[in-house]
Amino acid sequence: MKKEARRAAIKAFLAGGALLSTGWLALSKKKPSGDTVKLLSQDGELVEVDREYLKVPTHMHAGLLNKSTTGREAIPGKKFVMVIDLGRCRNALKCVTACQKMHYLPEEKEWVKIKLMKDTEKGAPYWFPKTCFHCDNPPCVKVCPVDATFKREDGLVLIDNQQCIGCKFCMAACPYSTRVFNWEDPKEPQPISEEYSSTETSVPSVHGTVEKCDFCPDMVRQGKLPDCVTACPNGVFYFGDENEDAVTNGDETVRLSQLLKDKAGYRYMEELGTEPRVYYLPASNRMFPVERGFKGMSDEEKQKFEDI
Amino acid sequence: MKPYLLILISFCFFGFNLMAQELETEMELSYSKSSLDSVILSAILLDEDGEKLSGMDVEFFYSKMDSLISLGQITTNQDGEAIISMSYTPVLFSSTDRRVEFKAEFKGNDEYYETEVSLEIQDAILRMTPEIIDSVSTLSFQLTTWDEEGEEIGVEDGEIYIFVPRLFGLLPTGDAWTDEDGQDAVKFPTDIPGGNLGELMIIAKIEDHESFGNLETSQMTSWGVPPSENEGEVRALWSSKPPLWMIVTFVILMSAVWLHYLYILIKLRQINTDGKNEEKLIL
Amino acid sequence: MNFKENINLTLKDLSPVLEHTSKKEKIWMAFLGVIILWGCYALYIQITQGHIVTGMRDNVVWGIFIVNFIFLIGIGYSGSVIAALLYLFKMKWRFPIIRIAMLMTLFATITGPLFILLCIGRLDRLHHLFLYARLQSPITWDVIAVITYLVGSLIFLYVALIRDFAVYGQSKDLKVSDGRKKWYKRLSFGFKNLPSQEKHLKISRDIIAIMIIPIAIMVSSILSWIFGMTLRPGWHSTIFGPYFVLAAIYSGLGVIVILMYILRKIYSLEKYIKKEHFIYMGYGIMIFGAGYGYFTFSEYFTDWYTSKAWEAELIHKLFSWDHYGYWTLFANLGGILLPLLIIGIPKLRTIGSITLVSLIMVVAMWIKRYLIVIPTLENTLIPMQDLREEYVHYSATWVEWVLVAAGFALFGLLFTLAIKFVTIIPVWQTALMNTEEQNKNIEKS
Repeated sequence: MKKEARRAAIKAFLAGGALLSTGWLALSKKKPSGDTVKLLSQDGELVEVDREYLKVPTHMHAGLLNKSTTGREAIPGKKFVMVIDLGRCRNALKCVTACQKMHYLPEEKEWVKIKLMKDTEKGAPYWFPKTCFHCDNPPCVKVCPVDATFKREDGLVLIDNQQCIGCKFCMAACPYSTRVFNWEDPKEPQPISEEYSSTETSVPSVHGTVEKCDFCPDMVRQGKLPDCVTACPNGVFYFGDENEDAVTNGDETVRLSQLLKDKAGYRYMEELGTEPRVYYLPASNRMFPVERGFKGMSDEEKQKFEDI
Repeated sequence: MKPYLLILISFCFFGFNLMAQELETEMELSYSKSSLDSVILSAILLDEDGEKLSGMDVEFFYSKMDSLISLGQITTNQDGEAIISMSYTPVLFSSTDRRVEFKAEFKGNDEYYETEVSLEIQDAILRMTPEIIDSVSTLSFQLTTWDEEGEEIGVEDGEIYIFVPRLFGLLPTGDAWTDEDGQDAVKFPTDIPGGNLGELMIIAKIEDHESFGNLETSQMTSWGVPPSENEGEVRALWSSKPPLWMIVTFVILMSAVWLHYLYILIKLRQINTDGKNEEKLIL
Repeated sequence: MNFKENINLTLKDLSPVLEHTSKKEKIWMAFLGVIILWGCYALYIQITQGHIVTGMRDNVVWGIFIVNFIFLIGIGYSGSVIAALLYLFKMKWRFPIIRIAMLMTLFATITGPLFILLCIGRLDRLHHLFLYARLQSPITWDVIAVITYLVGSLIFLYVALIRDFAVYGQSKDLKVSDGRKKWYKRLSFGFKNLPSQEKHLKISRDIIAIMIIPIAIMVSSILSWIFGMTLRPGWHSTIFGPYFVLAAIYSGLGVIVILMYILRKIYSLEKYIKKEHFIYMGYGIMIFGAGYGYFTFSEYFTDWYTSKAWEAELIHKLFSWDHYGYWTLFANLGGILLPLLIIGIPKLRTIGSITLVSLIMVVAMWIKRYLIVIPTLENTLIPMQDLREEYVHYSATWVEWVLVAAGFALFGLLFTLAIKFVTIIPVWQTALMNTEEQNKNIEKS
């Protein structure tokens, strides 16, 4: 209990003490109800909605309303990198649902996928969360005929769904099956009109275009971690900046080079030459046995993994 | 008939009592002093199940010579926290040994019981001096407080954690323990990336000290490693702009083909002009 | 007989086709029209409801639309090469084949790219291909290649037709409307057979015939590199460029034989399309079949021998009876061994058998293209572990099949309309050849 108060206090003066001196002062004056947020309705009108009645996370709208960025300009000085600790994943799928909630994706469409992998016949199976690797030598970007998917200087590979013609060459080229396609009009209600979609938020989904995990640059611009990182109950995802050699999983911040050295970080299928920006920490010293991942799964769902 | 009525009435009585009964609450109070000389009191209001209560009014006090002076009333936010901040002033710590008692009080309402919590804090100063001693980057710490006579004395066994701010959080880079004089000096790593000019902020904290609460100090240094030059926009297979050799090859190939097409079209034109004067097809 | 008389004789033989449309032809065109209309309906469904009505999903993103595209473009790319090679080597028996080959080329190159358009998710953004084109993308290369090849083939076809247009425009025997005769005259572009014109024409013919061969090879290779430049097993193979070139010419030869047979039967062209034409085409099929078989064997054998994990999975899928084994067997036996066998044995070498074998071969080649595209896409590196059957295995829906049929119907319709406009057998060249032969015979005797 005391820890909670301490954490809260630390969080409070973390924001206030070293970096932003005035930001947190507003916290103390905030009222929970009567707090309205500006939202863009589907018709492109600006409406005010009480925070209490919002089912959608509000953090993303700041990025949306700021249309000055085309999405192709990098966040200066950064080179984003992710480290996924395979020893901690128990297929909780909280990252998947958090990502889907944030991007208004239907249940079947996953930008983060959790696979059950087994490297070798006698090896042990492990749960393998797979985001887009935002490769430095991206096979998907090479083949796009209309420059709709592009590699930014801050390391991110994004998709401009206003420019995409839906030829799906990038989907055929990606060896990691990371991209998904909008085969029909988006089923989930998309509270943001298409006019205000941004390459950095990747919403709303556009019929006939390709989309994928984008490392949430709109969140990063506000100093927040992507939703998958914060939603994971076991701290599997570490996210950070390669240039400042630090990654964090929401609880602990560590030096990237140290983490990779200590825990023998590697990249998936390095020999493909795509230079992914996501590192994996081997599934040794497991936090949970792999069977934990099957908890609550129907027999039908378990059939997915019968090959493993 | 009468006994039943009695039972019914007593049930109703107890029922109303249950309904009217208020829920227990509890509160936690913490104190933080940041390097910008601001003092923050944070109170978290929880109900008996540990759920955070928002929208409740909490009043903060501090003690001055046996009397409580109100600092202000704050409403708890979504996370159940009421946070009040003020500039650090010696007025708060008026006693000779610089001790003060902070109190947070929740007066209660129809739903919840009142509750209060107090915290005794002694003022202390954490000083950090970055300097280069014998060409080694060193951080020198001094942790002091005041004794009963109002003299500044060093604090032993102060656990200091050292951090560097990164994009999403603080990266721990080391720690320090103060000796009996309240001093310690530790080496600072020289390979931590910093800003464009090598600027690097160093933050030192004491967390949750039983007397001093939370203390923090920070210093801007030039001990960071500046980032390497950015490539800027490149010409590659995966960039928007194609490599130059590709453009050259493309132009050469296209010209080779289409110039031949053009030549044939010219030839056809010649056929046309040649045949203008003839009337009939010569077979 | 002199040249003029030969022209008139030949034209008289062939003109009925140009002059009137028989009942059979009308029924045939109506039949094709119905299929095309059904295709338009399917297209409407696809555009309004989205590609969800097809069988394509996130793993198999390209289905039989792309298979058909490769097939049609393949025969398109080969027609001009066959015609050019026959012309450059001055094969005496080339004339009926050249016209058919060139028409096949033109209409296949027009119908084929329509199937790429069917794969595009946002048809309203097609102009992006030109506005925002990236030179590094194989699709950009393919767009440029198709356009370049189409223009080249048109030029090649026109240069071959120009003298016939002159004949049609001037002939009094040809009983067509005056308006149509005027069009023929216009299309002859003033060709009066003056010596200077003849010279210009010969230079043009030679240049385009020589140019179109490397162009066709380039564009075939570019088509293959859409697959070859990815990291997937079954696609990422250094042999893909030459492989597609050979495959194109091979299937093109087969389609030409089928067309020869049909046209010969329906329009009674026994005088012009003789057994020797079938036999020579048969030889061509044998040679290219052997080459194609050699490439196929090389592909599979190499992939299988080293058993690199991702490749081995694909080979297993292609050759196991649970997956694509039967189709692979048919594609290779029917597509390669059977033609070699039938045409190789002299006793079996008849017009009927050669045509039948070509038909089987063409179907097998279509299936082969299917085996190139879909099994590779189903063979993902990262396990699919997906419960949705339509995401794990591809199966084409009625929309796709109808559109494929409509594409072939369109090809058929365009071809039928074309042979109503120009003769199947080149009049000028045939008459010229006959005149030369007769003069030779006269000289001999």
